[in-house]
Amino acid sequence: MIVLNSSDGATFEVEESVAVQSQTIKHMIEDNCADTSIPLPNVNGVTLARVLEYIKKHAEAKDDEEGLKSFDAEFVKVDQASLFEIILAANYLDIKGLLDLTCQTVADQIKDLTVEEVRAIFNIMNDFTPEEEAKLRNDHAWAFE
Amino acid sequence: MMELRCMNDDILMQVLSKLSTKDVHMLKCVAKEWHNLTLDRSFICLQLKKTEAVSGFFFQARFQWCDEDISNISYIPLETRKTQVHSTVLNFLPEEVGILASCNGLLCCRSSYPRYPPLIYVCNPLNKQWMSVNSVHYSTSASAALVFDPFKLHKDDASPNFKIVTVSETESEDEQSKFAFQIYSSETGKWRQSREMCHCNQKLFKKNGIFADGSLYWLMDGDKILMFNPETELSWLLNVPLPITEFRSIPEICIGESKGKLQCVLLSEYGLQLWALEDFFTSQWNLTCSVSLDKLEEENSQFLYQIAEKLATRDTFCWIKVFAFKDGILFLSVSSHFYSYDFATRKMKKLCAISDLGPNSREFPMVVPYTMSLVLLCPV
Repeated sequence: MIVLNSSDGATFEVEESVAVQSQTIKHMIEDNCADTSIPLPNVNGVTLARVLEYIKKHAEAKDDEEGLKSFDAEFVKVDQASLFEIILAANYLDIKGLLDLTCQTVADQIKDLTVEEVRAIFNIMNDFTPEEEAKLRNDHAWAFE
Repeated sequence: MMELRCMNDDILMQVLSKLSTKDVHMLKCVAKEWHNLTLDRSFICLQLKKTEAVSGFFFQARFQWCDEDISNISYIPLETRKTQVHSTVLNFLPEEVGILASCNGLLCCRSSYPRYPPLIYVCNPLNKQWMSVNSVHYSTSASAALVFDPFKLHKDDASPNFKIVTVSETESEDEQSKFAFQIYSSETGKWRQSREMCHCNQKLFKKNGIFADGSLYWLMDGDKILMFNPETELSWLLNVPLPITEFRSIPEICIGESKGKLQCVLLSEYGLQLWALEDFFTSQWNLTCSVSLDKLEEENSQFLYQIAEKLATRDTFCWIKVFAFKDGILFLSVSSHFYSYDFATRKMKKLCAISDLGPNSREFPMVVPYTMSLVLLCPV
């Protein structure tokens, strides 16, 4: 069993065979950094619990494609902030399946938004001048809707 | 309104790479960083998708009996709420061109007549990059096709590896028609004549070559399809799914690629049929979709009326014609408009009036399906 410590001091136990779905944890174990427990300062307790839920399910139901599909669909039905925390965790822990799933979810959410709405969500400053932006949109009008 | 912290670059790349090319392209306008991302090689490789639905069709009218080019090239997008025809898409090229073919996001064109020898252009209209290839041998009756696999990019600089194959008719000693193939490889930067030749008494019909399942296909004006594999350099003549003698009047035919296979669309008194090529050697086709004329009319009654009668009397005026096919979408004309027909939903959609594309648009235009791609022809 592997012990994981979240950033806010919560402790989780998980089987090694399940934990190694995270490449980060896998390498830590291989490099012998996991004697007592593995500290994960970048992931809080709530998020870590969710991530563990994912990897546990994917370990035990590995061959049940249909079951995993519906689990995944339900798994991502969380609020934006939590989804984002899970993405960061999946990225840090290097869990490809979870990263793909959560990024695809965000992609599906933004694909129907306007440019202004996307800027709002990602909190991005528009650094194009009005002329530059107008030219960009005009040049590529044929490819936009 | 949702509010998120700014994503780090790594994650932004992951999220955006899941979007279709059209959606990513539109998000160029969000900020300079996003614009630069669409030109970044590693992002482009990450974003490349095995299949992206056809984006639209390039359309160029052609004179039937004369070599002069009609300069106007239109782009008709699909998947838009209101279809708008765009006519300046290729204006970034240095001169007027004639469209030849398209493959996986790249477009192949040649400089307009009377420039001789013509220059062949390969370009990506999305990022407006282009390069030219000299072609000393290209004749007016020739036809070309583009071979480009976006997953086989150059190891060093991720530039595309493509081939241009031209096919031209030559007369042989016994007065039989022969087709010769010239292959240009972007790797070598050179043309060479293939030793392979194909005997066929039919002429090339809809001139753009279709790339499917590793081979190139050109529809002939009878009941044959000319096939050429640019790797093995073998050519073959296939038969269309049903012999022409089976029909009371000549059916409307066009070929295209979908799901990695060559597909043939036949419109006749038997209805609208979609055939997938299973084995080129034995000309074995699989009928994957068949809609009777009555059903077709019933399902699209706002656009079609008495098709059966009209198809039977198509000698002077062709009321319905098929032009191009890609990814399950057929581009066709009915009366005075162009439409798309989606084989999955069996629904027609009005695209534009034939007159919107200029005069001479009704007969023998060049219609090339196009799928957007971010691929870079040259490093930025």
